[in-house]
Amino acid sequence: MTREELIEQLEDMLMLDEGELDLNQELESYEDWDSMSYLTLIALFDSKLNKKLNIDTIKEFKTANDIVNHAGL
Amino acid sequence: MFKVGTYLPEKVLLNANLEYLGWSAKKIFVKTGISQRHVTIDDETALDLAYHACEDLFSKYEIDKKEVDYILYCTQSPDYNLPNNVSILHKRLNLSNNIPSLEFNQGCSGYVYGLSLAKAFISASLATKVLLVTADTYTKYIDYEDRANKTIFGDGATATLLTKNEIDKFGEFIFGTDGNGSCNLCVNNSGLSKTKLTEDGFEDRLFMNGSEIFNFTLETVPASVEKVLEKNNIKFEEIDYFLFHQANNFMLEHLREKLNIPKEKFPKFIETTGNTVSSTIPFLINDLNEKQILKKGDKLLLIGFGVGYSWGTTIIEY
Repeated sequence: MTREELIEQLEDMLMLDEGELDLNQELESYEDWDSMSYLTLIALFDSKLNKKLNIDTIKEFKTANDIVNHAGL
Repeated sequence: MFKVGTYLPEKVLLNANLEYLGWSAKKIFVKTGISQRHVTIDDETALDLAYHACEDLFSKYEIDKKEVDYILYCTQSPDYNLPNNVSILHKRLNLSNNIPSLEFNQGCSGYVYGLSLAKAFISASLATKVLLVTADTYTKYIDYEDRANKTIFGDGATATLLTKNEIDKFGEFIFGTDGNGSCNLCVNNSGLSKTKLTEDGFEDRLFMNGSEIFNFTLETVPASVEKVLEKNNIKFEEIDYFLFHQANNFMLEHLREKLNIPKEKFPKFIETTGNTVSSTIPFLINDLNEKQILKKGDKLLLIGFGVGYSWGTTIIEY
């Protein structure tokens, strides 16, 4: 998975249009950053990156940039 | 052939009724794959649902209930902590006095547990016609403001009649338990202990750590599917239908893709009922029965997983 593909998936997860995701914006400020988006993120890391994400790690993500960095992309 | 009776409470909660939680009806559907769920009213309980599911079974298949010689009742929403609720169900169904009855506390793995118990009792000549009943009313445990759980769970009950004809076609079972997950789906203060299992969630209401439950399923379900195929010496391709516990559509789709199960082999029954805990698999079987989809000889892989953590899987021939 490329960095661009991950960003596209994060936009889908947060129900944003293409190009709307600000990597430095607080995730908490997005209406759709909630318990269901945590599941989407876990599924994404599992299926596309073969990495396990636990809830403690997810709660440490402050911005989308943190997610991209954790993915190593 | 599996003879399954079902019952859903009359009251329906549409997604539109849950918009007060902050998601539009459409968004609830997109996120959960559920468009409505049936919920019990205040004076309606799991035993009421169980009774109606049994009556549905008896009438639909013209079963003489006096022939039932063992009742198994699976619930995590008992009407009473004591006496056992199965005795009350036995009375309401007016069954013979000289038969055993057993209640067990399991959630999402409960139906598979029940099948294994029926197999054991019939194989040991302790019974010939086992009535396996599942009933839960999780919605009574859920806080009014709890969006995640309120949108997913529904109430319901099922009743299955199991005889030698069915259990002869049961394969080997795989079960597992991991109590480390007990704090991730629980209700504090629901028994006699004052010790809290978790500090999270709404006080003394249903708590579910969805992320951890999801991680548990990602680790357990694919591995268990592999093990049960191996134990039964059956190839993945030989399975006609994979009947998974219907937790929520998102989780189901992810597991289906992870396991490379074709859509046509992965029926679902969750959109109109939500997650009914121990009843999801028999509701699914009943739906397939009504649509006449299952054929004699079809190989079905059943797997239940969740609260406990607890999981169970088997392969049966229809």
